[in-house]
Amino acid sequence: MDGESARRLDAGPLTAVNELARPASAGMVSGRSSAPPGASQSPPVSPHAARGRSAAPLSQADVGALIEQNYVGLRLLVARRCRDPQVAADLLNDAVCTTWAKWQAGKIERPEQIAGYVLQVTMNLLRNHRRAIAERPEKRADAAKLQDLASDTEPSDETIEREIAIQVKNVIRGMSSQRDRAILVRFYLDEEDKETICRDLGLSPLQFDKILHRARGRLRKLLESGGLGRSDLLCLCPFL
Amino acid sequence: MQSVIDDPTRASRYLADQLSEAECAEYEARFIEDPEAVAELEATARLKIGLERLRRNGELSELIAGTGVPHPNRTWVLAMAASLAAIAIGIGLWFPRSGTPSSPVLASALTAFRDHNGHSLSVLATAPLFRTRAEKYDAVIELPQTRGAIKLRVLPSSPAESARYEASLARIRDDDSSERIVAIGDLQPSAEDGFVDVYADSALLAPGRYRLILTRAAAGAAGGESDTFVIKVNGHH
Repeated sequence: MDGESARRLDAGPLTAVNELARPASAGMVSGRSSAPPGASQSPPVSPHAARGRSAAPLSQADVGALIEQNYVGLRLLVARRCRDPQVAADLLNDAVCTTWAKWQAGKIERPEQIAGYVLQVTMNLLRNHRRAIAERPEKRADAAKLQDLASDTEPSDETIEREIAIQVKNVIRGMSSQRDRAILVRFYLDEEDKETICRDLGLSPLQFDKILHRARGRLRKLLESGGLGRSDLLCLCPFL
Repeated sequence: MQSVIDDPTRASRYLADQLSEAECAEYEARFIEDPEAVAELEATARLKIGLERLRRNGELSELIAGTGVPHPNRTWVLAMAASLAAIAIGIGLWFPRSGTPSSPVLASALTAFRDHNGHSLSVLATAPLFRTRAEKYDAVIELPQTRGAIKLRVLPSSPAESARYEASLARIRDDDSSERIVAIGDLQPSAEDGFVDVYADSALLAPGRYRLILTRAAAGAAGGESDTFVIKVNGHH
């Protein structure tokens, strides 16, 4: 894994947000575009600054970098659903713009809410986009476009996907039961419904939930070791 | 506020568009107030992406089967015994028996498959088949643990609503030669999306490689045109 990918997967989302929100002297998060020395001397007065907080304001690029680097799973999934990485990038960009405007206007109280806003707006935009496509008179799948599906992943995303696959492989290897591994695949990958899987395998809903809890717990531990930390999630805003 | 994590299925169902509008709205409202919900969603998304990637790489079946994973001796021995038994059963199912099979391998309708109680089989897996670039297999199917139907959604390269198709299934041997198993005809594409649906009985589909050929019935300039798809079936009965 190259250095860039390592930064992408290691940086925890809330850690990154809190880094961005700290005063400039605390250091820069990788991926943040550097500004000329004088640029940060007179930033636009945000409601947060007006409250007497001395932290450097977040820029739109900061918010974009936060999502780009720390929510790779969701970003890749949006790209899959759009069937077009450019459309996905546009949707995310629109969501980032909307969220940053809300942040500037003081409508977002805490920086740890930023990712949630971006995701909420992104998913809304994605739904609207797919609804617009479904309403088109020609609903047939375009075979020529489908041919291009395999090559839609950006080269940098290939590396990220590979690393995610390694993490998931470790989750699966940590599950001792073949039945449990099969449940993971049927539910998360094949997206079959819980009732069908339970009926097929003779499981109670509670047994099913426990299997998912174990798998998810293991995945979260793996992600936490790479930076998606529980403690980071609950970290207070360092605007002090 | 009850944590969204209490329902371990919600994040995945949300990403799979399986929540109602009201459920979606409620869930999305939590993104802002509950960073844990966002983290859960990201973890779920990575799980989906990772599994997809592993399937594409052909690694998934081996991982599910647990091969290559260190086991305590007793467990390993039990697993090996189960695998050998499953292979024996699979061979027994695969080689043609004398007399007419009671259930076809492939059919144009789900109702062609019945279990021993006479009930229709459920669709346990769906595999779309269309032209992909630089992929070794057009589809990789994981055999379900229990008997069911596998729905193959085949997209002809030149879909036409009025066309009729024949689908033939052949097993690909180790030397890459093919052995035709079954052919079914009078298949009609779906009016909604142009895919031609065929169903396979998972109990009669042994692990291995298959070639599915979709041929347009001879009528007009496009008659006789065919599309070939290579399918890998993983798992064991």
